This record gives sequence, C-alpha cells and structure tokens, in this order.
Amino acid sequence: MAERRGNWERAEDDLPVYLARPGTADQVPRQKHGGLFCSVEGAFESKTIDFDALSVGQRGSRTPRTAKRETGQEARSPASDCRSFPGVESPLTSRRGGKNSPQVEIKSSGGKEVLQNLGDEKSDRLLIKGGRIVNDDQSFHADIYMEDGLIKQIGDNLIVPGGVKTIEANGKMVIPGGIDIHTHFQMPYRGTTTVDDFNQGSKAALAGGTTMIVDHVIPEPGTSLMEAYDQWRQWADEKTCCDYSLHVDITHWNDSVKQEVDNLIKEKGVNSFHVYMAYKDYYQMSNSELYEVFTFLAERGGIAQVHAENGEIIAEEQARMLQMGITGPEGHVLSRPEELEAEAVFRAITIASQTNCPLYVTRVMSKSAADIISQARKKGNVVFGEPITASLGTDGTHYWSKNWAKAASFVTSPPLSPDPTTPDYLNTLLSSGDLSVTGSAHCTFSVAQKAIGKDDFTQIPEGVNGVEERMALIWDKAVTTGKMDENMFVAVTSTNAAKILNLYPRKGRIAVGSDADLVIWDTDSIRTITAKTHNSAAEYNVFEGMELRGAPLVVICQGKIVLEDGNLHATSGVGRFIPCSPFPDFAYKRVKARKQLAVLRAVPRGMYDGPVSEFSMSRGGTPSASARTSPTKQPVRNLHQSGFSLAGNPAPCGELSFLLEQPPLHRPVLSFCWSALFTLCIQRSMWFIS
Amino acid sequence: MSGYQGKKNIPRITSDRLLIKGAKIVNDDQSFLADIYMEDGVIKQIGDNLIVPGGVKIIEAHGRMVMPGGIDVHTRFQMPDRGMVAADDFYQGTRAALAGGTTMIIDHVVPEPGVSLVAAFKQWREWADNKSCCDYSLHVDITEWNKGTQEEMETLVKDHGVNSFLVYLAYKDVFQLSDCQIYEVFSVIRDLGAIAQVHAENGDIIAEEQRRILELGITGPEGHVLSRPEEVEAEAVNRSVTIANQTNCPLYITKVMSKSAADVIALARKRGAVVYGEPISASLGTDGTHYWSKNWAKAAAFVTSPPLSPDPTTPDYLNSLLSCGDLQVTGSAHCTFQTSQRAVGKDNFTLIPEGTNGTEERMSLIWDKCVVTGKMDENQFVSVTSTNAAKVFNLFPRKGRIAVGSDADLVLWDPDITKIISAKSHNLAVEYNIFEGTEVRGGPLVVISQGKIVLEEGSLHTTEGCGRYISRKPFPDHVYKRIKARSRLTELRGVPRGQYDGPVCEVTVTPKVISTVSSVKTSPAKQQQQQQFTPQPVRNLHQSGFSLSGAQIDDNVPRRTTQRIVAPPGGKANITSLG
Repeated sequence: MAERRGNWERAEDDLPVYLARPGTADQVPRQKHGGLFCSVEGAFESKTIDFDALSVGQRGSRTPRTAKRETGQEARSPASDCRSFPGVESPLTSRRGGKNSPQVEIKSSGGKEVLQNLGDEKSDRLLIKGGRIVNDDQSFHADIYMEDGLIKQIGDNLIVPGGVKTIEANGKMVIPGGIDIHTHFQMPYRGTTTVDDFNQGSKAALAGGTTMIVDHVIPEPGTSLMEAYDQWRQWADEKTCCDYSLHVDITHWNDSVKQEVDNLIKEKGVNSFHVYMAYKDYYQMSNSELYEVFTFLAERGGIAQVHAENGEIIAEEQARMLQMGITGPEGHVLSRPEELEAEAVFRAITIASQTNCPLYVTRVMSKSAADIISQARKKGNVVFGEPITASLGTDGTHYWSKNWAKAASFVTSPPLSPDPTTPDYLNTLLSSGDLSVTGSAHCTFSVAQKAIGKDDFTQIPEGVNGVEERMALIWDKAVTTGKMDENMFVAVTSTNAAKILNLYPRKGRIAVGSDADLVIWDTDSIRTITAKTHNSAAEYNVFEGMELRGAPLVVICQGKIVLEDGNLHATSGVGRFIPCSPFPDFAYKRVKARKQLAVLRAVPRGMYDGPVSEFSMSRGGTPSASARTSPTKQPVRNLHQSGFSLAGNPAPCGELSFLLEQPPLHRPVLSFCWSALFTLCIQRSMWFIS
Repeated sequence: MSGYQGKKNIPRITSDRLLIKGAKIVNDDQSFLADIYMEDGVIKQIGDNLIVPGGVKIIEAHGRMVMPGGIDVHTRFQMPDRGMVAADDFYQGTRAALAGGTTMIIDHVVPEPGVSLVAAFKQWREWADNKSCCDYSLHVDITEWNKGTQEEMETLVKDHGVNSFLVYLAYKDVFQLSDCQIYEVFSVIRDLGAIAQVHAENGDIIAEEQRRILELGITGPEGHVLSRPEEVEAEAVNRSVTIANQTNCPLYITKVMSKSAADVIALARKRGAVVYGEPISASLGTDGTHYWSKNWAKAAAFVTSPPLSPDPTTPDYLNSLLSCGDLQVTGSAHCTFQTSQRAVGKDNFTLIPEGTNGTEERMSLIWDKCVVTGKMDENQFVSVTSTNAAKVFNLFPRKGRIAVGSDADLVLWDPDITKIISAKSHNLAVEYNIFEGTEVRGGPLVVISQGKIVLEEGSLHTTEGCGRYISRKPFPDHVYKRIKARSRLTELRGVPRGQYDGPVCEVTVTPKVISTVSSVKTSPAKQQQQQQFTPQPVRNLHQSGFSLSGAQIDDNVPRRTTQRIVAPPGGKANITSLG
C-alpha cells in the first residue's frame, strides 16, 4: 500500500503528460492546464480524502475484475468509481487503482488567484472543462462555468474569473443531474417511519447521480392537506441534501380538500396530486371522486397521478388468500395479479380522457399495465407512465423465496411481476418513449419493520429501495444494451420529469441559466450492488448482487461538488424546496388545444310537439312555457339531479297535457322527414373515437 | 314475396307431421342435402327416402337452405319502465321474431331493486306464458346484492332452470353494483355453474358526464351519446373481464356497441379469458349519427345503452369480428317504446326510455352484412344466429341444430329475397324502425316453430300463448369445461417457511390475523405450482440467479440501534439464513 501511495505521489510529480494515459488510443480528450497529473497546489485541501481509509477498498480493487465480482465489490470504493477508462484494460485499471489515471481531475486555482480569493476555499465558482454535454436532444463538447449554483456560461475558451475550481472532464459525459420523481423518504407508517429519512435518502440519491427528488406528502385520510404539506416541508428543509419538490396525495375528497388543493397549487408550488385506486376503505377513491378530482385538476393546471390497482378486488383476493392459509409474502403478489393493475390503469385513463386531464401513472410494474399506457398514448391520450427502479431492474420471483426477510423486502404495491421478462419489456417501452419518466418509489423499511406482517402479508409495510441505483440501473439495462442512447437516457432520468413538473429548463437541462445540478458520468465503471455498501439504511437491497455498468464520477449539486472519488460531501439541510407552477406546457399544451375543440353543441331542433306518454305520475297540466320557448338553453335542473331513473323516480312532467292540445303550429319543423338533416357534431367524436 | 301486404289466407295446417323434402340442411359445422321429418314438434328422421306415415304435410324445399331457427338471446319484451311498458309485449314481440326467422327468444327479467328475484321471475313467466308465440327462456338481472339474493339465485338455478344472470355496471344508484359486489356475484355464479352477463358501461362516469352535458344546455338525444362515449363502455368491459378472470367465472358481455369494446373482448379472448361478446342488431346494422337528427322523434328512437357509436365504420367492424369469431352470439336487445313514451325525455335526454328494435331484422341483417359480403359462410351464419347461443346457454343440441331429436324449429331460408325494412311493414307496435330504408337481401321463406308452420308465403300464423318456457341447466359444457379445468389448476399454495423469528418492529395496535402459519407448514406444497398467470414461480426460484450474491448481509444483525426489537429465541435455526 505504501508503495502504491509512493506511486501516486511520484505520478503526481514526475509523470509527463503524454505518459499519463497509456493505452488510450481512442478519443483523446481535450487536455488543458498541462494535462492530468500536473502538480496542483491545494488540490485536495477542500476535500476529505482519507487515503488510509480508501486503501481498504483499493486493496480489493487490485484483484482482477472477475475476482471483484465474486467478492461483491463495494460500490462506493474509489476503486470502482473512478478508474476505469475508455479503452483501458481492466487489469491495468485494477493495478493502478485509479489514482494514477483519474478520468476527471479537480483542481483549485493556485498562485495568484488563490491570493485574490483569499479564504474562498468553498468558492461557488466551478468550471468543467472538456466535458461532453449531453442533453435530451443533443450532445456536444463545451466547457461549463457555474457560479452561485447556476450555469453562467457554456462554450469554448470561456472567460472566467480567477479562483475557479476546475474539473477536467476529459471528454466524459456531463449530464443534467437525475430527478427522482417518486420517493417516500421519512414516511410515517403506523407510528414508525421509513428507515431512510430525508438526509439518508437524499444522500443515497446524490451518490447515485440524482440531484433532485420529489417526495410524496401523504396526509392521513381526514386530516388537512396543508398541515401535512407543512410537516413534510419542515422535515425536508431540515434534512435534505439536494433540492426537492413535493407531490401531495389526496387521500379523501370534499370541498375543503378542494380548497386546499387550490391553495397548494396557487401558493405552495405543488402541481401534482396523487390519488389512490387501491387501499380500500383507506386511501381509495371511487370513480366519481376520481372524476371530480381530475376535473378540478384539469381546471387548475395540475397533474393527476394515480396509484393504479383495483382495491376492491384486491380486498376480496386478500381475504381469499388468507383463508387459504397463504400468509407469506407470496400472498402479496398472488392477491394483486397484474391484471388488476392493468384494469385500474385502463379505468384511470378513461376517466382522465373524459375529464381532459393529463394523467400520470405512478409505478408501472407489469407488462400489461405498460401496454395499456402505450395503447392509450397511441390513441392520443395525454398519459405518462413511470416505471420504477425495482420494476426495471428485478422481478417478483423473489416473493417465493424461502427466506422470509428477503421475500418481504420485495413487497411493494403494485407488486413486482413474477414474470421474469418484465424488466426487459419495461426497459424497451421506456426506450421507445411509451413510458416517459422514471422514479424509484424509494420507501425502505427495516426487516424488523417488515416483520410486522410476518403472520399476515397484508400487514407488511410496502416499499422497496432504488433511489441510489436508479441511474446506473437504467444505464446498464437500457443504454449499454443499445435500447436507448445517452440523450434518451437524460430524457427519462431527468428532462421529462422536469418538464412534467414545469421545472424545465431550470432543471433537467444543461443550459445557461439552469441550475448547476450536473453529473459527470462514467460509462464504464462497473460495480456490484449490495446492501453492504449502499447508502440506504435498509438491510436488504432488492438488487443485491446485480452488476451494473455506468456510474456517476462527480456529482455537482447546487454548484457544489458533492460526490467525487467516491466520497460524498453532502450537507444536511442545504436542499431547497423548488416550487412547481401549474399548467406545465409539456402536458397542458395539448390539453388546452383539445379543450377548445371539445366544445359540445346541442342540435337546434324545434320543440317536440307530439304526444307524450304518461309515466309514473303527472303533476298538473300546466304547460311550462319557458321550456317551450327555450328548449336547449334551460335544462331543468332538478330533472337531472335524479340521475338516470329507470326505477320510477318521478320527474316533473308538466308538459303532459299541453302537448296533446298543442295546435300543430310547428308541424312542418318536426314532421317525419325521412331525409333528415344529420348534423354531425363530431368535433368531440373525432378526438375520442378511433 | 315482396313485403307482407299480400293477405292471402291459406288454410292453416294444423297437422303435427311435417316433411321437408330436398332441403340443404345447414348446421354450424356442415351443409348437406337431406329430407327432414318432424312429428310432435321434434325432428324424428333425417335422410333420403324417409319412410313416413301418410297424411303428412310436405314442403318442397327445392334445394333451398334449411337452418336451425334463430335464437335471439337478448330481448326485453313488455319491459316495465317507470310505469310505462315497452311497446312490444310478448305476443307482438315473438310474432316479430318469428317473422324474422327467430324461433326462440331469451328475455330479461328486470326486478326492481328491492323486489325478490323469484317473484319477478314468476311475474315474467306469467306474462310470457300467456302471450309468447315461440319458445322462450329467461335471464335474470341482478339489480341489487345481498345475502338473500344469493339464495334466490340458487333457487332460480336449481328449481327454475335459469343459468344466466345479468349485472349492471351502469345506471348509478339504480341498478349499478360496485366492483366488490360484482366480484361476489361472479363468485356465486361460478359456483352455481351459470353465466355472468354484464351491461358494461361505467355508471359513475356517465352520471358525471350527464350532469355536465345538461349543464351545457344539451338536452336532446345527442346528449345521450355524448355522455356515454365508447371509451366508457370499453373501460367497463375491461373491468368486468378482469373481475371475471379473477373469479374464474365465464363472462358474457351484452350489447357490444363500439369498436373499442369489441377490441377489448377480442384481446381478452386472445389472452385466454372465457368471455363472450354479443353485438346486437342495432350495432351491426346502423350507427349513432342519427342522434344528431333534427327530427327529435327519430333521434330519440335510437336511444339505447350503450349508445350506438357515432363512428359510421362501427357496424362493418363488428360484423368482421363476428365473422372471425371474436364475437360469438347475436341478440337484438329488442326493447321498443312509442314516440310518445320516448317524449317523456323530450327536455332531458336522461329520461328517454332506452331501447331499439331489432328482433325481426336480426337474421336478415346479419345475412346481408356478413354472408352476402363474403365475411362469413352459411354455417358460420348459423353459429352466430343460433348454435353458439344454444351452446352458451346449454340448450344445445335441443336448439341450434338440425339433428334427430332436436326441436323442430326450422327456417327455410331464401338468400335472394330482397326487402326494404320500413316501419310501415314491420310487425312491431312502434312508429319508428331504426333500420328504416335499409335494403336487406336474404330472408325466411318458411318458418317452423314447434313443428308447426308459422310463416308461409309472407303470412304469419302464430298462436298466442303456445310458447313454452325452456329451462336451462347449469354448467354448460361449452363454457364450463375450460372453467373447471382451470379451477383445478389455479389452486394456490403458500411457501412453506420456518417461522420468522427475527426482530419485529413494534407498531401501534394493528389488527392481526392469528398465526395460520402452522397450517401452511403441515401442508407441504406437493408442488406442480401451476398458476396459469405466473410462470411457475417456485420452480424458478431454485434456478433463480438471485443467489449469485450469496447470503444476504442480514445475518440477523439489526443495524438500527434505535429500534426496539424482540430478541430471537435462542438455539433455533433462523429462517433468515435459509435463503
């Protein structure tokens, strides 16, 4: 080890630039400031690299890669984080342990600049040189200069002030930081909370390259949305290490909730609301309520999110499973077959389409549900599907594990599909654009907490991890397999989410004026996911043992470097709440256009003046003159309040007798003309039919 | 033969013995030339050179097609609605059916919520027995759900020969049942061996849409179709298919009116669901553009639920699906109201009584739209108009087939007759015919019901009240063979695990099911974990790549010191280390 450290120092001092990167024939990155290993004063001063501590990981890393796999190489070790190299043989990588051939080098300004910026060690000024900027639409080489947490300049040969910390990206990809659009950090559950609080959770997010999370506020049914929102704000403001935003779950519906939703949209910066079609007698909403919620959200410019599962059938199935004596975690998936998910998705889409409200389906877990979403999109519905890390990365066969604790750790709703081809299928749909965004639905419980349901699977708290693994997993499953390119990767991990939340281009894009949330992505590093090394507090990791290619090398959040060399420098409480404004263009441009078209018109007809049959009861014979003079303008209100009344609900029928005595004045208008004029009011039909 | 104006009164043949010579017998599987001899309303012999007793009335078919009489699986004759009664009663309705070549109808009993199913059933029996001119059977609609309903269903199945029940997903606050109730109804229906029928529309959404559309000032019949877009139908079909799959119950969708609903059914069948779709004469023959007619009375005549689709390509599409087998049976949903009855809803479309005609036109329409156009052949025609219905409702082979021993319900079909459907000439009591002006090719020449000639040379000789109630047994093979096989396979088993003895987090009081784990342990799964929808999860597990990682790191060391844990009992192997 000592020798290696010696090497390291020697390399710093002696190695000429042209020898610094042996073996790299391809893609010679731009070299500035004298190359990779020039001596840089104070390069490590503001960092907390502890070589002794790191060397533990490095020792392991010096074994060949194959050996690494077997031992379950630690994810965070610098050995696996920042050393593999395009074109460099892996043994070399391992041998050199990374420090000799860093991909990315971070330097502070030295000399005069330091003097000028005396004591400005934690400068907000940051320059990334020679990176390949990857947005969702294109990739290009340019330097990025950031100040005060914002991107100030992009281009070549930037003129930057002194005292700038410079990162040499050496042609590595620089992508907008990931946005995890679905997390449940610090979620209260029956007196306990999830093991990952906002601090732990956002740390894990940053470690995985995610620089913004959107958490769900879950008010208990019957309690105020606003209070719950304030509570979540308080928790998050205290602890988060990265920017965050909030969805609010609507767990019950009445006029006061409506008012609160209105306030949240107008004043509190929430534009997405989540409703449940499952959890009967608890969170579940009826179709009518869904219709009303969706209608209201469509008016106010909110996004309707749904947890799509048919709760009523689940309740029946759960009772059946328990009766049959199935109490283990396999009962969870057996009582929630994927059909029920698909059914609820279908229903949600129907209601959303009726109310002309943009729909966002959280947690797409099965093929059938994804199929329904992609069909609906083909038909023109404004619907977004969110597969989560777990559904993209693993499947539900583990519910049958003999190890109860392991099986229980996979419990989430909708459950992971037992069909092992599901992850691949969902990745394909994600790549083709049928599914739009990815979240993690990170909601972790310790085994002890899961064990609440050891005798009854319905009591197992639900949720899986995934916030840390999300980016790398999608890279591995979709980009390395050639399903999507790097731009699409940025779109599904970040840009689309920002667009839906109406945060674009502040988030989700590398552009002048955008927030300085960036990730320098290493496409080649390989690490094995394991609970031993992950940043979450949970004992189990649902992706245990999975080997993923691709990882963040440097993560910059709010213009500060929070991850480098595998070290996290997250500061608790620096995360800001990012308010989302209503009517995101991404969803509402189409909706608005349709609203204009979908105006329904009545057919102007003469009054029907034929005989009217008597039905149920007649109330007097007074002709209702008003109804006659304005047949279409004035629907009789109380008539339709009764709803559809086949049952013999009496409706006012004052017209009964006058119709018979009506002189045939309007006859010509109404006479039976077989060649009737058909007025086709098809504006609306055009949209929804075919 | 053009029209029914010719009132030539030929002497009525009352003999029960009848011989059809030189007929081309068309069944659903094959066509062949043979003579048919009937006696006492039953087919006694089929073949050439039959030896028959003297005094037999002989019909010379001259090679024309003789097919099993049509079965109209869905009628609502004489249906009460808010004090009114559908214009066509059982007499008028069955007469019309016979005139169109249909020799059996299955009517719907619609008990008002709160009324006993059996009582309603008896009421319908009484009406039909007095008036029906052809054999009939009855579906019973479940309009509410409670414990008593279940017992009544049992009675109906066991004692009254009912094997199909209809539930409504629409008509909120009147007939509509919730998903939970439907799940329970379906479970009961499966146990009884009956068929679950659904009226598939999402009533909740419709109620909201109706209110919205009335608020917009749209009160005419166009509001009916605008408030019931076809998506809402497709959604409900999808939902009922899901519930039926869950309960392993055979499903029958009445009134398939739109492309999207038909597509959902076709998809479900491809996935293996036991589901049948019934397009009706109206959806096969016309479309919903007429709702925008300036003539209110005409527009109102088309009002039915689910509504006719305003997409004019729908009938053709449904005929195609019918021909390829994705839809199986055809009904008419015949439920007619006079214009004056419809006018109850003249200021509010939600009050217009619903229903269209179609029992008389059904056979000719399908012949014209499917057989003449080459979508299906004559054998398929027999399946969709008669045989499939008989099979689904367990009437086969008594009905729906020309075979020795079957009922003598036959139709001598003339593929070349052309007629123009018009309210002037139809056998119904209503002023409007929704197929007005449609020219159809193909029609019945002679109709034989219960071994008697009821239609001959354009004149009907029906006898009021001669129709018999045909009771139907549960567990029709056509439907339940598959269901039975599946219910044997879908047995679910728990995974035998040791008792979890790790730490358990303390929670605020929760209702817990007392440990049933011991029972799981004693029943070691004999494997063959055959879930039809999961690819053998248990087996998979052993080959699962999951164990790559070796043992999990749990080691039963709780990381969170802050949590209160229950110490594991010592000495016992911990189940968390098994995996």
